[in-house]
Amino acid sequence: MTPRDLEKRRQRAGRVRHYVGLALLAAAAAWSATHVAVRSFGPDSDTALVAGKTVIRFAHWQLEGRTVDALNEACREYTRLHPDVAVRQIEVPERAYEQWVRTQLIGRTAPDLIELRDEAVWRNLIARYFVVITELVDRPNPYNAAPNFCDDPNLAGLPWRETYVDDMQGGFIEELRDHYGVPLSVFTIRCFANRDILRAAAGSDRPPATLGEFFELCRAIEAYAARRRERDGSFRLVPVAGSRYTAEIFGNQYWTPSVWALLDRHDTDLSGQLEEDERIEAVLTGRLDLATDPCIRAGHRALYDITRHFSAGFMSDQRDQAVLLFSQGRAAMIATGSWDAGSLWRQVAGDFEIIVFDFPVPAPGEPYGRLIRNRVSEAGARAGFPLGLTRTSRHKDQAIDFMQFLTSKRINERINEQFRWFPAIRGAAPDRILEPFRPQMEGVYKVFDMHLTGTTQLRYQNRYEEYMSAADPGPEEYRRFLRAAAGDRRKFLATYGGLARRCLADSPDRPEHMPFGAYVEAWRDDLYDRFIRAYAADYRECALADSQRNWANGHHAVVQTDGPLAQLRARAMREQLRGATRRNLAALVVGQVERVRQRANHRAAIERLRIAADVPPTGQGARP
Amino acid sequence: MPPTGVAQLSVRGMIADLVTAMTTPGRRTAAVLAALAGAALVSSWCVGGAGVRSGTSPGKASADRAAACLAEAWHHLEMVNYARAGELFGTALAGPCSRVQPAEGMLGLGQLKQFRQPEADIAEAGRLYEAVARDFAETPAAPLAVMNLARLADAPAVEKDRDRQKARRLYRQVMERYPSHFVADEAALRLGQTYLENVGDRAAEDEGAKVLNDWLAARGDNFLAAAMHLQLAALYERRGQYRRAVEHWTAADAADADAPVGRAIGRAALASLYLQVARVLEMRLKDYAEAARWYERIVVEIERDPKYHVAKLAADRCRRLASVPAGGEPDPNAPAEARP
Repeated sequence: MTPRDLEKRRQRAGRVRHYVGLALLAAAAAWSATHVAVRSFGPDSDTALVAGKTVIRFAHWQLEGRTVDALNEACREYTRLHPDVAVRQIEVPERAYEQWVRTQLIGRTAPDLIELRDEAVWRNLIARYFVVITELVDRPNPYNAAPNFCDDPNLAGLPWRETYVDDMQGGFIEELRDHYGVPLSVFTIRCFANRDILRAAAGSDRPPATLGEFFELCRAIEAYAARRRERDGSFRLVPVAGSRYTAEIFGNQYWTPSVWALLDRHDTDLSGQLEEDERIEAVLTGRLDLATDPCIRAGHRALYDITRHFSAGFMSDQRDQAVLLFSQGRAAMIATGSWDAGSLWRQVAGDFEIIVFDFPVPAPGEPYGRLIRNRVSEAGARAGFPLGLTRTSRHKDQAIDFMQFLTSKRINERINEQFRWFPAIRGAAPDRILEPFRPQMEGVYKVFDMHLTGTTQLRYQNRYEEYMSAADPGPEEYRRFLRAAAGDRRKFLATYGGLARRCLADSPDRPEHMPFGAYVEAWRDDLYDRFIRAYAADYRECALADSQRNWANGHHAVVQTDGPLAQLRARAMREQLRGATRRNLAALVVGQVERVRQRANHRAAIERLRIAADVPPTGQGARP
Repeated sequence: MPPTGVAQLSVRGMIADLVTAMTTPGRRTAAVLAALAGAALVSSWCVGGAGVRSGTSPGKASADRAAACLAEAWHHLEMVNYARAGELFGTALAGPCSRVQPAEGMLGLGQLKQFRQPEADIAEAGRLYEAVARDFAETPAAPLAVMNLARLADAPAVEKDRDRQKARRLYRQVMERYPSHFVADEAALRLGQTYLENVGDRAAEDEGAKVLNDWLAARGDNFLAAAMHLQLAALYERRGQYRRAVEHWTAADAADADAPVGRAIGRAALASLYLQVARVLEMRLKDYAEAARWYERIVVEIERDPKYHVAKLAADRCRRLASVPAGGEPDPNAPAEARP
């Protein structure tokens, strides 16, 4: 065979390989098309089952326990009531939810109803893609007038929003001054513990009454786990099932009371809230030093100390991983909301008993006891699981009717009984197991945020995550530290910086004899100092620019949200300003004017601050 | 006197003449045309007669159709079905209708152009509003159109393009031309605001306060009185005139509570308002008894609010402080001070 023949054969083989690839691709495409066609149009497909009907679709990420089943049951009942309407739910995992919703909204393929999230980044989505229902919620829910949907005649004539335990505040978007969501349930947050582990580790199943007792219990569980591991190398147990989400929950519980005292010092207009301009003014004029303020320090450090008892690598774990760890008995405690109660009880049924307790407040004399003296009030607990109506919905009237159906007293009570969540409608009875989750009225409310939206938020999050993710030093690092401490002092200071200075301040003559416990504590202090000082500098650099951007965005939002107001005015022209319209109109105007006022005050405050602090205009950073 | 030629014509005579004409060559075409014209006359008489019997004229019927079209268009605009709303406004404008309907249709189209996302056309919206204000000044749509024009001048998306002078002129125009219309209240509020927002500019603030105070003096029961009092209270609080601020907060609360259709200030905002009044009374004016009363209002009237517990403890504290005689000790029977 000549080289030319060989070359030809090689070329032929190459062509065949190409054809094989193409054939495989074609086969895969054909299989996919067939699969989709069968799923879409086959005898068991949705298309066949809902043929000729109006289909309402709603999407949510509440996949806990029996949520999906309970909602399916409600959908079936709705279809029995309205045979020409079929309701389909789309369950989207929490992790992919935002991307999925964005894609659907931008592609104009969004379902009729979408569960809204209470996050700043959702405000623009809501303003742009969802329908304002402010006027609608002022009219009665017609289902509450039907005896088979509501046994309370008082609810029948009430405006829809007043049938809610929270006056439907959970569906009201403060920044947009309008109602956009129809919430279904109320939630509170608690600690859950494995009674068996508590007994085995601490000799008692009494939940910790103070933060000090909580730390003791964690240490007892760690000691118990170490003892068990000596006998069984594969034994794994941590005090708290950790995740980024759990850390956030603990953070809110201890941050809010720790910074409460700042209100007395910096609330210049006595509004009971530290507004953005008050916070910036306090920082830029030096009245509040973010880096050294003891309240801020207590809030951060308390959470840091708590998370030292979390499962390793918790900042990269998600909520469901933490729930799994607890339900498998590999974590003694978990902090989560009443939304997980039902599924947790079902998952651990028979394996162990769960006890529920409130977040312990430090007692006087305990660590952080001087600054953290309260719990967080749940008096204003807002209803959650809000469904919003998308602008692209082709069946808006039916979708609204379906939401009214879900929030009639009887249906809301029943679905929440199945969810094992608190109903959102007045008079609807909660499940018996929810008693420990009943909202606590006592406590303080959040008055201070460490960041503004924008660059400060981003920088804070990055630095905070880095801080929280840092693992405590081990014995090897300790030994290295001591060796350095015993050596050349200048080199020691250059290598360990603040940590070395702390060590020398404690024992200037014999730093190499620093005990391990003191070393770890100094290391933690040093870590915190580095985090907070860096962030304080960021704040001074970015706060004004962020604030101005917020103000501009707020202004833009005012323009955007004038739509419903103008429409209502035009409607009122024909309806001689009916009562409900008039009330809505007033509410809108009051809200919008209030926002304009805030905006104006804010702008003036910025100018005043710039002069006071000699800060260069936006975008030029802080002066050197 | 002999009857005139027209009056002499009888139906029988007309038919006989027509038949004769149709059978006479040369006159057939004219006869056919005449027959068609007659049929058209009879048809229109029948339709007109039916209209009389049902109580509507042809013009009235088409005006009703336009009104229904407009009503549906507003509904679709509210439900952000912009395409359908646009079609319906267009249909309403195309047909014969009453004098006010074109104005309403143009107003609706203007709002559609203004708020349609993402294809808003503010310039076109402005032109439509101007046309309503100019050509239909006597219709109910006119004050709304002028108000929309004012808002377009007052709150553009980019602050630097805001035309405050034009906005002020239009607000004043609404207040002067339509003083009893409800948008005049809003115009007064927003006009005052354009001055009050110049925080620190004493002359501008005084002018804003004057606008609002004058309007409140003339129309104290207007449905935005609460919002006006809130603006004034904020001004006086900033200036350190705390007693005046408290008076306006109190008036805002009263105006809002007296509204025949229920409160416009939301529950959360109301709790914030009560808390601010109470804190100013307690910490600036040292009027502990009155402060306790305002704190208690949060506890009693707005129980489900995060401020509930704080207000409850503060009310106890203020009652205790109120019981202290000047230079004396607190009343031992008063509740112990508790402060979160």
